[in-house]
Amino acid sequence: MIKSVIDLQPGKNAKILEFANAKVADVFESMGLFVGQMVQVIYKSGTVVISVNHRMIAMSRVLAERIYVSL
Amino acid sequence: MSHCNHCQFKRNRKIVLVGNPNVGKSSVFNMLSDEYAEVSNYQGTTVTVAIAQIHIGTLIDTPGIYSLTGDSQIDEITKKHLNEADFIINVVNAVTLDRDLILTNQLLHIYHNKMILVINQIDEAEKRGIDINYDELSKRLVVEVVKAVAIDRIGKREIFQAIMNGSCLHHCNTSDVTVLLDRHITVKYTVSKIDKFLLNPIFGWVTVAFVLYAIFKILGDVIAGNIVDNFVSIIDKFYIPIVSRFAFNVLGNNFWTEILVGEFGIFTMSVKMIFGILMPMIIGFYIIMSLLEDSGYIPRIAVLTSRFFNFLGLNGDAIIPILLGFGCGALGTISCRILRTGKERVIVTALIGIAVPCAAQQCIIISLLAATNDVSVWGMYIATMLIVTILSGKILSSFIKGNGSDFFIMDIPPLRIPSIANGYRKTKNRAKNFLKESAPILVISSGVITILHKFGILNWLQSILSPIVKSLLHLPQEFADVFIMGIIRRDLAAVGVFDMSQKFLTTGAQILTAAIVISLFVPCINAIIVILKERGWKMALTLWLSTFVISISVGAVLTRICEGVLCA
Ligand SMILES: Nc1nc2c(ncn2[C@@H]2O[C@H](COP(=O)(O)OP(=O)(O)OP(=O)(O)O)[C@@H](O)[C@H]2O)c(=O)[nH]1
Ligand SMILES: [Mg+2]
Repeated sequence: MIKSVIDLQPGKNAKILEFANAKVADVFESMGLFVGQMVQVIYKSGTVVISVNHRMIAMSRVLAERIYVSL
Repeated sequence: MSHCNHCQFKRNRKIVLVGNPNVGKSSVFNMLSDEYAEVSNYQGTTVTVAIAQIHIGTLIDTPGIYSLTGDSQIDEITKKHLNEADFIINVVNAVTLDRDLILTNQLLHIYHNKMILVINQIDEAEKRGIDINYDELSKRLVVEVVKAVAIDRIGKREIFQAIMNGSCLHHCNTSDVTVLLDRHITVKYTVSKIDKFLLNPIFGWVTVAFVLYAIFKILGDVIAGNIVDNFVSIIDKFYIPIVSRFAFNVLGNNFWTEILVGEFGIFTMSVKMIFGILMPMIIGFYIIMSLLEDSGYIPRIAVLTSRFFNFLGLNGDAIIPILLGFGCGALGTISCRILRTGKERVIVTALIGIAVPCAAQQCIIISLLAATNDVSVWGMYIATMLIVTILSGKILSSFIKGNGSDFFIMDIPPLRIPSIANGYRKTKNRAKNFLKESAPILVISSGVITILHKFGILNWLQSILSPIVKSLLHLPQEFADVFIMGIIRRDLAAVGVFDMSQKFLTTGAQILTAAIVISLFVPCINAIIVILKERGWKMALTLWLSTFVISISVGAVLTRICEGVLCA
């Protein structure tokens, strides 16, 4: 099932399937987020915090909605 | 790899440190040179380059960038120095290697024969059980790789050695680093309990409130209430009588004596202001700031506040320049470079100019308010400042053209125990800069004020300002002096109010009005110069005039409300 990161329950792992478009992909890739990586949602409120490979990244919901993951 | 003679470094070689934000470039810079570039635990600490002369050339520390294709102000600054570089030290963080090597890859394509790779923070990586095969990395990337723990000064010699070797590497077949990294492994990341707490929508905010309260308490009670009081009374009792007597004996009673040791004298008023009041408060404030900066707490506040800032056309990024603005408006304004859009930069610059009192001012305001011992005065002060901030932000974000930003993405660094050594160096550096910048202005202005006083101009200005001070703000006539001082520097005005408060400001309403007026008053000369450079003269002029009008009108409205409420 494909969903966006924002639909993930905190604490659950999921694999990044794709980004909404090339422009967003650019932003994420320069921050070290790639298709195929496992992500976990840590915190979800006005802002979303995810963890990837020993790092935590905070982003606005608008951006989080543009990361598609497989559940 | 041996090194050959024609590759020897000339002294004027430009060696540029480049890397992702918060990997430790400035720490490496400090390790390799004897200078101090500010080090803090958040991305975007460095916004202007730092330069040091070292034995193998000129070392340049640049702001962190994620890629060579970015086009923010920060990216432009770094890329400019990259273009002029003779040699590049690419610093990466061992913990976030997969992210950082993306930039490395881009750099290698262009600078392969004149760069080395410094893998920093290997202590953190070891702690987390991250295993890195350095030899393999070096072989595959065809670049000299050096391990470092910059904060412990580990790797210094190896870096210099590698620069010597690296400058002779020529034939390069850069393999694509992406094949080096296996991105498909699941890394179990357990978030620390502290982080869960700090980011929790309820407890997170409770913590922020508690931290703010603690800061107010320390600055108001300990520093302003004890340290400053003692300093001031020592200066008043011992120092001033001695220098005054000395000057009178040597120079006699004339104009110069007045300038040097009179009521507004350089050796009396200036010395008391700088060493008795401002320095202890500034130092106290910066020690606290450095704890916040080095612990990594600021990015957590950014996460919590991002939504509030959305409302003002900004996002969590804005917290960094604003917090720095609480230290010094000029620094806060420069730090606006980390913001992504021009609109955000204008809004934050304006907010800092209008509603963010700098350290010197704030400390005095806190002690004034603390002295009233009245919770409602505190409440009204904070409420007024918040209302002014929100209204200004809202008005600016709807009138300024262009897109605001809901585009917020920020690396959250690990929490760290702040290092005493770094806190000490940073605070010392900032206090020194404050002294260098404000002392001459204070000395000049005390001379000017003596002259104005001597020729009756001060009285004349007082009478001109009297309608504003007395009728509009319901404050004593003497407050006009504060205005005149405030035009030069807001912290001077704050000191003026502090001095006056004992004699003239009697009611809670007066203290509150005075505190609000100086909090919102025009940015000081140093800040205006920076605004002029960063945002242009139109913005500087508009901001200066608006703050003047805003401070007086808000003061006038508030004083009437207060008289109603506090006297009722
Ligand atoms: N554990 C550990 N921490 C380090 C090391 N080097 C730097 N740090 C910490 O990493 C944080 C960032 O260091 P800076 O030197 O300010 O990083 P920077 O790359 O200059 O950051 P920007 O200027 O924001 O791009 C600080 O909290 C440092 O104390 C290291 O070798 N080990
Ligand atoms: Mg730096």
